[in-house]
Amino acid sequence: MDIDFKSFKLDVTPTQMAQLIDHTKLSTWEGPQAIENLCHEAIQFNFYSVCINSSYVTLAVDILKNTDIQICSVVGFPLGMMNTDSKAYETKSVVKNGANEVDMVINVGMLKNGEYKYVQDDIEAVVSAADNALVKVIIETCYLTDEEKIKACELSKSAGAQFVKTSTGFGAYGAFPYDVRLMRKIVGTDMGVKAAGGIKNYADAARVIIANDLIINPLKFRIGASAGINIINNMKWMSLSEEWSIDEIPCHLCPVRAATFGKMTEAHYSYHKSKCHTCQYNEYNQFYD
Amino acid sequence: MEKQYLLRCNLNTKKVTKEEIPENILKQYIGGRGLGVKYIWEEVDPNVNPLNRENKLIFAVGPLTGSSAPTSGRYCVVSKSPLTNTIFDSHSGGRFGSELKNIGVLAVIIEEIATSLSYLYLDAEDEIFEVRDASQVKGKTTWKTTDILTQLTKKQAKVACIGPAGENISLMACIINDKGHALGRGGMGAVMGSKKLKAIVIKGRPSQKNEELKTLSEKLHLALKKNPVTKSALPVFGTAVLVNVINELGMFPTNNFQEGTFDDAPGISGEKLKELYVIKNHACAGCRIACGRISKVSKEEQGKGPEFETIWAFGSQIGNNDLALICEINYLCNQLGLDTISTGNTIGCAMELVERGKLTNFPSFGNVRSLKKIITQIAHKEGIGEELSRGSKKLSEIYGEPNLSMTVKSLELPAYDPRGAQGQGLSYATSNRGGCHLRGYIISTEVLGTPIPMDRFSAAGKASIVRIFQDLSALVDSLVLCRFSTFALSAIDYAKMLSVIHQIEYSESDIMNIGERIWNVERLFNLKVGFSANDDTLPKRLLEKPLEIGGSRNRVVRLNKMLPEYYKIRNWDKYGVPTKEKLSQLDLT
Repeated sequence: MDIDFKSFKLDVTPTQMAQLIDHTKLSTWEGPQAIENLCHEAIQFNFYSVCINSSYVTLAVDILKNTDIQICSVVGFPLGMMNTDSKAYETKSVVKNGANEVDMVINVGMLKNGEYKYVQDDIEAVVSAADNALVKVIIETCYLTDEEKIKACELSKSAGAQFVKTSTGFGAYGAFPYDVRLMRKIVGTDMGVKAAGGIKNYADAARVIIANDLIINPLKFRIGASAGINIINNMKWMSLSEEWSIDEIPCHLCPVRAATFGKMTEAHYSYHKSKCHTCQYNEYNQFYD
Repeated sequence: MEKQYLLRCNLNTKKVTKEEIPENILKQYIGGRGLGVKYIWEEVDPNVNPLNRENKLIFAVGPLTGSSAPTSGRYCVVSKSPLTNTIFDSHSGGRFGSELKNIGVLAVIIEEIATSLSYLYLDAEDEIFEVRDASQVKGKTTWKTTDILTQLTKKQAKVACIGPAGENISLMACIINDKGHALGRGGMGAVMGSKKLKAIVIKGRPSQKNEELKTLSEKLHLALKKNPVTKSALPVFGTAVLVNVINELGMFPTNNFQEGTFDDAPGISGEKLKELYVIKNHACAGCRIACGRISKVSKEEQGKGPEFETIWAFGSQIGNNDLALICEINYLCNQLGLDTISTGNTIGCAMELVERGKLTNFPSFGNVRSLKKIITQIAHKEGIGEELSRGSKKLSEIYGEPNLSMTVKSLELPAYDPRGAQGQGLSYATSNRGGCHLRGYIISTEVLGTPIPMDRFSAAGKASIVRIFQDLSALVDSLVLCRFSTFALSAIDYAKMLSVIHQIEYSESDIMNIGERIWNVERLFNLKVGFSANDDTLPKRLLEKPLEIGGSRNRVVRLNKMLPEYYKIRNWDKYGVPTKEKLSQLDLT
């Protein structure tokens, strides 16, 4: 990649970092108490938003009503395979209940089969139903080729969405700097990019921020993470030394290495591996670390 | 700031007196390790024989001990070590620390030598502070000693004691509290044995909780709950979770550090331990991580542990893949009062001496049938056990192979081969107490990726990070919190807690200065003993012989590159001596 990732010393304060984070809790087993805790944590750390399932929007609105913290509801989550009317209805419902942001999942199957109009209409229906709420389009990069990622970004832009987002966190793998960079390149500076899935610590967060050209603006860049508190806590160590750094190898930034045979089609797995075999950085791809 | 006190116990005169700790000492050294180091520095001649009456043994807790602060149920001892000859502090969890705090003091200074085997009874409930005869527990294991002394005093009393190893002054003897928590390293049990002090028995009086600290602590507990290491890895598998991780990285020392990968590691892993022998988790007082294990091999063989280092020391270090035996050896060492790291490491050294034809009538690697007998001999200093009881350094010198001792400053190295983690190598080499991973646990950043991941094979920037970890560790040891808290908390969090307790505002840099001051006092003490830059090194094998296979192959520790940088960052001269400017900055002139 065309960036120097060696230093993690970003010019970002913990306060700024918190304002890039959608503090997330989406697991199937989470109950109301967990969402209450999530909201109180968001207040304590001043995260930009809480990202939750639609069933808990009312609860979150009640807790966060006197704060600036945004409420982001996922829609059509996590597979994105329900019909467009269902997504539009869910969107209307969560916005009516107080959600300010909607993270929708595209129909990956339709995209991969070239049904681009369907995909764009699907997104447009959600954008329309969202009224003034901000819409982020989850393209689930782990199941897409680079060409498909580009197409998904273009369709999202054409459909009037405000953000493209890498992953649900429920797919084969999450956000990688390579994908963030590619998506930013396609959507330009008009749209936002959200990196989500597998961002567990400050280094992971720093990597995607660098890949996104160091844009520190929550309207243009967001990190979706359930590890937001850990990310902020990690940052307290940054003031103690100038020397935090890592000799980053290209494979740490690339999603190909995370491809798993059991979690994707054979053809898509082969796509990953063929990229790896022809990659100019192939020599770095040693699995002992 | 609230007044704080210590107890001074003269074993010879059996006099126990209480004295106030000056406020400036509390501000500059806090408690625990720092407080102990300050008093040893002031009151013990660095050139004293550690086993003579002039040496002192200080039991200490911190201002947060027994409070609502995360991982605050610990205590430590500070003395001059008979194994390393350095100033030394050793730490332990369990319940003893909280009980010690509840007698209303920060430290107990043990002086002189008792006329016969004794124990110190400190009872705040009935206001009894006295030295008592311990002939009933002479020669008894730590477990039996604990049972007998609680029967003789109070059932709820907490006991820290030595076993046969301490009584016989094995240099690897430790002090055991709560029947399975160890002040493990540095032969602190030998110092206690040399003073004819078998045990300290304590019954405290519960103190009032600080409400302001309670509120802050809840936030900090949340941080621990959100950190991947403290929220899941440690609670689920305990410290033994590291066996597979470290082995996969090719830095799991095998056959006395000759290799870095142990083929049978999965069979002695934390996962296997959980599957076969763990019956429940165990937590120290006030801890919500609960990394401790209670294991059971059979009706007769059960107890606390084993921890990661013990599994390594009696596993790959000696070529043993029998996990049940490791558990049993762990219980045995706890009962005899032996440090498992030094004992296993020294046995590994002896096995390599056998491999090289230097030692006969001793088992070779993987031959572990007589292990229990050997360990018992070490504790009683019988047969070959007499030579082994002096530690690996002296053993290897006796047989003319000093390079086979895997030690730094005579302290046996633990379970991370630094050829796979450059920063940890520097941390070992510069440790004030010798080959110890806890003076600066760089594995945290080089392997576990917390707080910030660093390239384990790179030497760049490591000097600065090692310094930070060492200073912060000195601070955390002086607050007497568990080192695991540093996975999730940082200097500013510790500063906030201390600010609440002392009612003085401490900044991040104030708190790091305290850590640095303690580190430099320890260094000054060691320099007066005669240590020099020549001792800031590693076994030759780690500097010159690359591992041949595994994830850390073809690498050695590049100490020559890191050490000068480290001295510079510490503001020490090229001989490793703190400059006048540094000492003045730390109020040490």
